[in-house]
Amino acid sequence: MTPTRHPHDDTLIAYAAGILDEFSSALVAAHIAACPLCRAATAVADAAGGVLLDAWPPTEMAPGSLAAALGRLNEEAPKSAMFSVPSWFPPALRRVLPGPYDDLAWRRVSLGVRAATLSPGGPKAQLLRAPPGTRLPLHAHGGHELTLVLKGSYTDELGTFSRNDVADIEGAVSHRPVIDPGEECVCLVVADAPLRLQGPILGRIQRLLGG
Amino acid sequence: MTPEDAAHLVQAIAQNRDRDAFASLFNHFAPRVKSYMRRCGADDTMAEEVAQEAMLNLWRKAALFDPRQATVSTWVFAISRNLRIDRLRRERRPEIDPNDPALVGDAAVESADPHEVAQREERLRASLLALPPDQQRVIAMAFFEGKPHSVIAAELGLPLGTVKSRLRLAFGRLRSALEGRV
Repeated sequence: MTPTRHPHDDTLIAYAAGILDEFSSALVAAHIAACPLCRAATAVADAAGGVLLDAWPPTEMAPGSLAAALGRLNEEAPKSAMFSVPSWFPPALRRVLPGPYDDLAWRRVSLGVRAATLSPGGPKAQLLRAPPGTRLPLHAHGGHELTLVLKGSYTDELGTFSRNDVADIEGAVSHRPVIDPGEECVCLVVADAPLRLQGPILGRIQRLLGG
Repeated sequence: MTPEDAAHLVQAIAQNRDRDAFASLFNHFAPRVKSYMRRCGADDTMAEEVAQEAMLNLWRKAALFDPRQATVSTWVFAISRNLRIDRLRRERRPEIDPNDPALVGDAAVESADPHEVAQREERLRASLLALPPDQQRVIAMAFFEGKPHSVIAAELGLPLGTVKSRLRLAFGRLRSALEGRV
């Protein structure tokens, strides 16, 4: 299904330049694999990279490097050591998993929602999953946050986000997403600032959960 | 080496495993990939390694290159960029070593004949060179030095928003040039 929600142009440009962090990169790559529109946009950016590659003065390779390369042409391509994932899981995201999908350290984060952190050292990139009908508590995002829907859908103040859609949010935005009926919703969320549950009680829950 | 020459050489590899064709492409592109990696801060050894890997990937995936989508330069840039990202990832978590599925995307861009593709990218090149210096600078820093927005902002003493809007403006112009409107 062609997505209707896309990363912002700024994010696509940064992706094409290769200046996003590895998780945001993988997220955008997964969306692009499903989105002809964004693929066309990044094709322009790739072409700019190609022009620069041609224009920039070359740096001489070490003597013997061509011979070394010719010697390697019969090498097998390196085997992928990728972890097992459900059939709906985007191939482009497999490289950022620390383990098989089912064996990730899924932990409860709030009423029905489970999370698995992908980034070493704290939640910068997480998978979130919640059953249909779950109402997430009001929470705010600071900084820049990308959300890619992998399965199912959710609806918030901005509308409905379904499989392959991306929410690309900059700055402090509060929202209260509701998981749509029918199936579990699984999202990849990459943020450069921690999530803040809002409200006095929820703030306490956050602190109890170690946020 | 014209885009058409490069495309024919890749085709020769795809169809005949032509090692002379590979050598010509290597001599043209490996030093350019090396420059790219050096500008992104790689040391000489790493830059050489990535240049070699990029050319090996070209050899392996030659059959997947479509001259109606892009020029070989664009393709080599994308391969190199993906290798660079993967290297950074591997520095942190070396246990996973995937083939990058994004190395060659599915055909999605409107197909043109190879000559048209080369002409479009010539327009892009002219348009890039005609960009105001401040826009050229941010494009070069992002694309050819691999600097994140925040680093560009810090180095130029600009707000983050300004860096992003300069890139966006630059891209608006490049896109128009590519589509033939100026």
